[in-house]
Amino acid sequence: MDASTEAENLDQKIMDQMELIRKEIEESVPLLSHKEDIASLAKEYPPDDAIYQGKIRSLYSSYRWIRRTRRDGNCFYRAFGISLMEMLKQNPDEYHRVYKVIEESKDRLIELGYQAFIIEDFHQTVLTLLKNVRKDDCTNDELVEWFNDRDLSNYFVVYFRLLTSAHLKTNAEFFENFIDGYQSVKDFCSYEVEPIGKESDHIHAIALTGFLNTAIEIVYLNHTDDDLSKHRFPEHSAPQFTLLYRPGHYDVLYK
Amino acid sequence: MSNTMEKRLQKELMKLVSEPPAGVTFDSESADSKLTLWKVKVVGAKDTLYDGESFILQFKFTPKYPFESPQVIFIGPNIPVHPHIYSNGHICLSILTDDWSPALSVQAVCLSIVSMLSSCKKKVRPPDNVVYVSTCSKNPKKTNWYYHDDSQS
Repeated sequence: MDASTEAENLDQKIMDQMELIRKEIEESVPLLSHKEDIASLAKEYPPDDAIYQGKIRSLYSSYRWIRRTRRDGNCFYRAFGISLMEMLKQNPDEYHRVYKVIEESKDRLIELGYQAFIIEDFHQTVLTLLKNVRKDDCTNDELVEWFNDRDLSNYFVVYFRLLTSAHLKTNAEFFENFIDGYQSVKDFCSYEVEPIGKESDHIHAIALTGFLNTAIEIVYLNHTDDDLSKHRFPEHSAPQFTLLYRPGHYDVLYK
Repeated sequence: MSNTMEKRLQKELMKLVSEPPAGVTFDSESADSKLTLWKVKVVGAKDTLYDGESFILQFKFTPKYPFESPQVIFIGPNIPVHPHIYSNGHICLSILTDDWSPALSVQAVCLSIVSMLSSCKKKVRPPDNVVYVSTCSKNPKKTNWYYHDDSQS
């Protein structure tokens, strides 16, 4: 009995500790930062770490700015979201194309079995954001502010997670080969894509860019003894924006 | 935030009343005025181990709903005897914590629980029932659940 009480106390302690860490992060880091000089990256690693410092120096030649995201498991979607909106603001043709894809996406989700009355709020929030993007007086700062509003930002994250799922499910036969440990693509989506806070991997990036028909580049910064690696989704495309990936985390890079 | 919650719960309430999943009945009068506490009746499906039995599920919502999962437990005198349901009404089901998604709903949770009951092959309590029930927090979301494969459906 003593042993089990201890086990239970430990359970509770772990949960409370995790909650505390989550709160601390919430209070100290915004969901999305303003653009910072890329040089600020170097300060995150020991000055004598030749691998990281070398790779960061080679980043300088191509990128000037970094926009950081909070490490809450949703960083991929927020990094993707702000970059997509900034790009669409500059590019009217792409804007109209993507707007239509998103507008029609609700029906596709319903066809896939999602409940209309549940998804419509998320869909509507994303459409409202897109309408704001098109306004002449919409500034990048306003977009960043939008993504820092927890409610709005979470609505966006939920909807883009669903779009990611939609592409995976629509192309289940193909993606079946890449979902280790899950019985079906549907299960993978339920457990690894749709819950808020589940981290994103290659497969999520392939699916989301596939759904929207956008092209992105992800630069990988990790502690391996090779050159900085860059991956394009889809392969050989001309990227519309760039994300920085460090194991378990995405930020945004700007030229 | 609570505005979001109320709007969403209002819609879910109407839907659950008008289109309840098979085996589920919901009297909207059972919800409190702020819609944060609901009681849903679940009846065991025909030709399953729970045929003819009825149970009460309690849903509790925080202002962070639907971004945070509802707290769902069985209450009342009859708690289903099931390998993933503790005798205090706590349910070991991953969509109620780690795998909750805001795209799920009260309806979807009810469906999962009904199917969890229907697929049961042997009416037994979880092996750690006695220890768990005597030590756990009142809130099942304070438990660091370990989900068995067969709890995912």
